[in-house]
Amino acid sequence: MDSRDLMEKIVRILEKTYYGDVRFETGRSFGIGKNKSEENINTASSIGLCIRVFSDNKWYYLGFNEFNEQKILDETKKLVRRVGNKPSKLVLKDPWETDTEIRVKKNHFDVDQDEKIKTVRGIFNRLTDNKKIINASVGLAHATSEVIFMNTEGSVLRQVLPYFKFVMSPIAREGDRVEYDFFVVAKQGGYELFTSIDLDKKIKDVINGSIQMLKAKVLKGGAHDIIVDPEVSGVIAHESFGHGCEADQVLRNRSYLAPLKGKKIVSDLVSMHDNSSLKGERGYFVFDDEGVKSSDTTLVKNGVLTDFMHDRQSAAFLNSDVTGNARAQDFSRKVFVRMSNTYIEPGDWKRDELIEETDNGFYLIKAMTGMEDPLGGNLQIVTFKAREIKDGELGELYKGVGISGKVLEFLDRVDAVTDNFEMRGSGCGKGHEDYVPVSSGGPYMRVRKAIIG
Amino acid sequence: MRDLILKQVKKSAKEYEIYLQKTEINEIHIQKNKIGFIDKTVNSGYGIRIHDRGMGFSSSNIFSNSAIKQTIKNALKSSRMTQKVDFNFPTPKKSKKVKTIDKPIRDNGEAVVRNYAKQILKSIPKDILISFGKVRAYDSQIQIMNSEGLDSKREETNFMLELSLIIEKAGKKVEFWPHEYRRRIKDLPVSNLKQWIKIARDQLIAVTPETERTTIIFSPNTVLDGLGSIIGSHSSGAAKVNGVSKFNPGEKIASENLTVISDGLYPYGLMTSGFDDEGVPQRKNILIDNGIFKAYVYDQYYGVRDNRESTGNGLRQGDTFFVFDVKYGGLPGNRISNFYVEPGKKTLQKLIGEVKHGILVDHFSWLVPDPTSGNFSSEIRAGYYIDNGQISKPIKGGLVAGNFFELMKNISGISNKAVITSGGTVLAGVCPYIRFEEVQIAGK
Repeated sequence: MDSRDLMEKIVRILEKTYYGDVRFETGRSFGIGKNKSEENINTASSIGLCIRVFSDNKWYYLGFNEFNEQKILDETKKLVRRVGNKPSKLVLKDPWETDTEIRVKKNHFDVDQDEKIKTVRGIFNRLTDNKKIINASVGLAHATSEVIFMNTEGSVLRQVLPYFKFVMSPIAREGDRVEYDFFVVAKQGGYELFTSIDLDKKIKDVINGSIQMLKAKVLKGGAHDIIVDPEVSGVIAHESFGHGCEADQVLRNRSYLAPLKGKKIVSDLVSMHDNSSLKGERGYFVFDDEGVKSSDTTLVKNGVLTDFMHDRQSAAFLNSDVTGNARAQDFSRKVFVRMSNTYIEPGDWKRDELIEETDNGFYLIKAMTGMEDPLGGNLQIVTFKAREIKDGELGELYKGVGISGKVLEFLDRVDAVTDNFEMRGSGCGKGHEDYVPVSSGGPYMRVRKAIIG
Repeated sequence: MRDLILKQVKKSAKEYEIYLQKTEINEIHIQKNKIGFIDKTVNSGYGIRIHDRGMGFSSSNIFSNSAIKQTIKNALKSSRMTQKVDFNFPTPKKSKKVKTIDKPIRDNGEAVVRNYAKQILKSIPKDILISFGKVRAYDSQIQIMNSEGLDSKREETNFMLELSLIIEKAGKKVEFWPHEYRRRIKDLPVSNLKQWIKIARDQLIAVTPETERTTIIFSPNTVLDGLGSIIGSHSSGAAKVNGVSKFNPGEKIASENLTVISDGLYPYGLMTSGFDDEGVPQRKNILIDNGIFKAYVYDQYYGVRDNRESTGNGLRQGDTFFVFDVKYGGLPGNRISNFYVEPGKKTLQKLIGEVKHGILVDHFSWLVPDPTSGNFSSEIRAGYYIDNGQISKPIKGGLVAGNFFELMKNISGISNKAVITSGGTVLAGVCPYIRFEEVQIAGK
C-alpha cells in the first residue's frame, strides 16, 4: 500500500470539514532483557493510521491498523457526512513541510545482535559477581518511530526519531532483607549513547548502592530542610507543576494555576521550561501530533507563571498560540496536551557547597513515582533513598520517602539552586494511561521545611 | 489471517505459539459536562513465541505477508541467540466455562458508551462539574495456538470509566477523581456517582490529618494496590526461582484472619478467563490460608523451571499500565490472577464501630509499594477520621507510610463483603475493607 497516496485521498475527503488531519505511524523496536532466570529478546513492528475531524467543537477519531483502503475511505466519508462542517474554534496555522530523520552516529539496528547480547550478559555477570548480589536485571532497548502527517491546512510532514534505553538493577540480600538500586539512561540517539556510558564506574556505583541499601533505615516523617537531586527536581517540575500547566486542564477548570498566569507564584530562584525542541532528550520531536512545530515554552520565569502548554483547541479557547504540545500514545488514542522535556533552570550554587551550608536536613535521591494533582496542586512524590545532613555533612542512609504538601508552597521555599543540571528520560501518563516518552530534570535545590515521610 | 500465520510458522519452527488478538474500542470523552470526543478504533495484532534452544518472541500488528515472515524470522533468530532453556509449550487441557462477556458491549459497544455518557450527564447535580470524563468499552477476541495442538479461543469485554468531579464553594475548589475498570457496565452502575459525589463534597471540609500512629481501615481498591502488589510479587514462582520471595510454604506471614486466593475463575473478574495467555486453564490458587503461605503460582516457563505444573498464571498484563487491546505485544508473565481476599465476619459498620480513634482511607493518590521491600508512602486523596466508632471529619493529605509485610501481621478485622475492584497499580481484585493497627501517618 502507498501510504502517502492513501493519506492524500483521506485529506481530500476531510477538506469538507472545519479541520481534519491524518497521521500514519510506523514503529520498529528491539529489546534484550536478562536476569538470573530469563533472557529475552523482544522485537516488534507496528503500524497505525489515525484520522481526526474537528466539527462543532468536538473531535471525532477513526483508528486503523489493517489497511483495507476502500474500507478506510468509506468510513472516512461516512464520518465526514455525519459530522459535517459546523463552526468551530481551533487555532489554524499556515501550511509547512518537513522531512526530518534524526541522524545518529551509529544506528542501533546496524549493531550485530550477537554483540548486544554478549554485552548484556557481560554486564549481568559483573553485576552478580558479588556474594551479596543474588540477582540483577539488565535491559537494553531501542526503537525507531516514523510519523507522516498531513492535514487540511496543506501541511505535509515526516519525522523519524530514534529512542534508546538502558537499565541495570542489582538485587542485594542479607538475611531476610532484600534491597536494590538502579541506573537508567533513556534518551534519543544511536548506539553511541550506550558506548559513551562509563560502565565500569556505573556498575561499581550501582552494586555499592544496592548493598548500602541493606543498611538503610526508615525515616520518621515530619517537616525538614531538604536538598533534592536533579531527578527529584525534574519529577516535581513534571508531575507536581507541569501537569497543572497543561492548558486542557485550564480549559476544564481543573488547574490550580489557571488564575495565576502573570503572577509571582514561587521563589524567584525557580524558572521552568517545557522544551520539545531539546534534541537528544526523550521528549524531543520536530512536530507534534497536530502537525505543530516543537518549541521551548517558558512556564515560569524567576518565580512568575508566564505560560501554559497548548494544543490547537486550548490555544483557541484561551486566546493563545499553539506551543507544540499535542501528543498521543499511538494511533488508537486521543491527542492531549502533553509535556515533552520539562525542567527547572540551573542556578549558581555548587552541590557540595549547598550540602556544606545546610545545618540539618535530608538529601533526597532519585525519584520512584510521582502523581499529578492538577486541581489540588499537591505534591505526591516518592523518592528512592535519602541521606541525613548533619552539620553540613552527609550522614546516615535512609529508605526512600514521600514528599507531601502544596507544590507552590514547596517551590516558594526554594532558597538555593545549583549549577549542576541533569535530565532523565521516562514515560508519562495522563492520569493512569496514555503514555508518551518524556524527560524531566533540573538542578539540586534546597527547600526549607518540606513535609516528608 | 490465522491460517496464513500458522502456515508460515510451521514452515520455520517445530515449537511455537501464536497469540492473536482483535479488539474493537469505542470511546467517548466528556469535557465540562459536554461530550467532546468520539472514537472508534479497531486494533489487532499477533505475538509469536518460538522455542528453538532458547526462547524467542516477536510481535506485530501488520498483516502483510512480508511482515508476518519478518516477525517469524525475528522470533526464530532470537530463540537461537538467547540462552538455552528447558521448555515445552502447554498441551491442550479442558478449561472451565467462565463469565467474561458483557452482552450489551458485545452487541453494540458504540451505543453502550454513548448511553452511559448521556446517563452520567443527566445524573450530575448542577453544582458538580465533570471537568473531564472517559467512557470506554473494549470487545476482544483472543486465539492461542501452539505446536502441541493447543487451539483455544476466548472472548472478553472490558469497560473503563474515569471522571474528574469538581465542586466549588466559597472560593474553594476540590476534586474527586475515580478511575475504574470492570468487565460489565452493570458492575459500575451510574448510581455509583452518588457515593463519588459525596466524597467530592466532603473534600470541601476535609482537614489535613495529624501526625500519629493509629488504626487505619483500607477500602477495597487500596487493599488491592497495597496487599495485592506485595503478595502478588512474592507469590510467583518467578520470585521463588530468583530468590527474592519473602514467602515460604507453610510459614505464617500474616494475621490468622487473612486468606488470599489468586482466583482466575471469579465471575466477571478483570483477569478471569477460562485459560491464561498461554492456553493453560485458569483456576483458584490459594496463596495465603488463615495467615499461612500455601503455594506459589506458576506460568509454563517457571513451572518447567521449578519442576511444577503451570497453575494457569501466565498472563499478559503490563507492569506500568493496564493492557487490554495490545496483549499480543508482550510476553506472558508469571503473575497472580484476580486478587481475591476472603471476606471476614464483621460488617463494615462493625469494623468502624470498634475503632475509638482511627482513619478510613477511601483513596490514595497513588499507592505504589516497593515490591521488593514492601515499603510504601502515599498521600491520602480521600479519607475520614473515625472517632468513638463513628465516621467523623473528612481528611485529605498527609502521608501514610509503612511496610506491608509488617502490616499484614497487624490485621484486626476484615469486612464481610468483597467486591470486584480495580486499582491504580494492580488491575484486578475482589476485596473487602481491611483494618490495620499501628499505622504511621505523617501529617500536620
